[in-house]
Amino acid sequence: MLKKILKAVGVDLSKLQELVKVVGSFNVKIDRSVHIHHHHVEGDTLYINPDRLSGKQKHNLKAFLRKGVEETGAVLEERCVSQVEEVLKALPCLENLTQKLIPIIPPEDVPLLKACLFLREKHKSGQNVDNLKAQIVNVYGMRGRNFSNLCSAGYLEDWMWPTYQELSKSFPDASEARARFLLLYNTFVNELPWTEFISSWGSLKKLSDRIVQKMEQNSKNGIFHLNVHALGKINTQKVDRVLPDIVKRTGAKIVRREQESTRIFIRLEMPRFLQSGPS
Amino acid sequence: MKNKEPKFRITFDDSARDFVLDAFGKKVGKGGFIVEKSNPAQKVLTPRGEEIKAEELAGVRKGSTVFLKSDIVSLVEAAEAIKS
Repeated sequence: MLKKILKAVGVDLSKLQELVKVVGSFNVKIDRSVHIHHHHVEGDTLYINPDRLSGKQKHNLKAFLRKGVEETGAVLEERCVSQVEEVLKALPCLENLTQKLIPIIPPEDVPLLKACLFLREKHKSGQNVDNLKAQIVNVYGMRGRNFSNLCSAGYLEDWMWPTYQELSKSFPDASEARARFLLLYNTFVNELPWTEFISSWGSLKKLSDRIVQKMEQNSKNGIFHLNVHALGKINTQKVDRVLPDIVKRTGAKIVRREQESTRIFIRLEMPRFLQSGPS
Repeated sequence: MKNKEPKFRITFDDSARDFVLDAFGKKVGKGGFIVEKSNPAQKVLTPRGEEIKAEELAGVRKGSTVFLKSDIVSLVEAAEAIKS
């Protein structure tokens, strides 16, 4: 069908057939650069210059674009193609977790989930993801920042899915289990009640106040721990500088500490928990 | 035996942006935002309700003809549309 429309644009399909025989697929690029006459094939790409088409051919090329979106999934600006290709390659690796979480998280968070998992894969492979994270925050705000941090620290596997599974056991009605999960999920993602991700901005005093406030609030709600995560040299140093003040103000103990050169994880537990004994 | 339709990937460069927008009944309006050609006061929005500046346009994906911005969240959605 698309080939028929291309023929109506005036494209010499015999050149295209040769290309298809060799590579099995090809790209069509709409390009108004002056060196492109009507159309030509270069590498695996058919270039079409709309400025060199007749009125009827332009009309047909527009029909090709509309039909092309439906048949190929998307028409993309060329500077985004490599990023989309990267995502396409990564998607199968993310499916194990996305298939579990998509039915239970809010539908509006599904693109956020996939973007954060993609970012995590890139980070794991040693690539800088600051720009991608900024893009996520730009779209989803603080919720996006929180979700991205939770994802990178493994909470999707270690907290979200196990929490839902536990709720499913207690509430066999799936809609009730999901409703209860969503209450916890929204609090967890919006407020990070028992986690703190250290960022480079903000004073030590404000950081200390925030963590102390969270721990006091958690204690009132029967939760006696708080996890502190930091990535990067500056942030890990910040944790070391703020911890003594937090311990002094809350009486909390550091019950777990994992530290690498640019990553730190601290688990703090409030004294009441220690006295009553962990379950 | 009927030949199987080969896979296409359709792209455009920024010089052809106006042409592509026109194909979908859109254009660049005041302030550089993408608007409806038939009603320039109506800005085109992403599924999350964001306005789209022409230079932010990443393309169009299927599903009621969705216009995409070039952030990673939108590009993940584009990849999903291509995959399905």
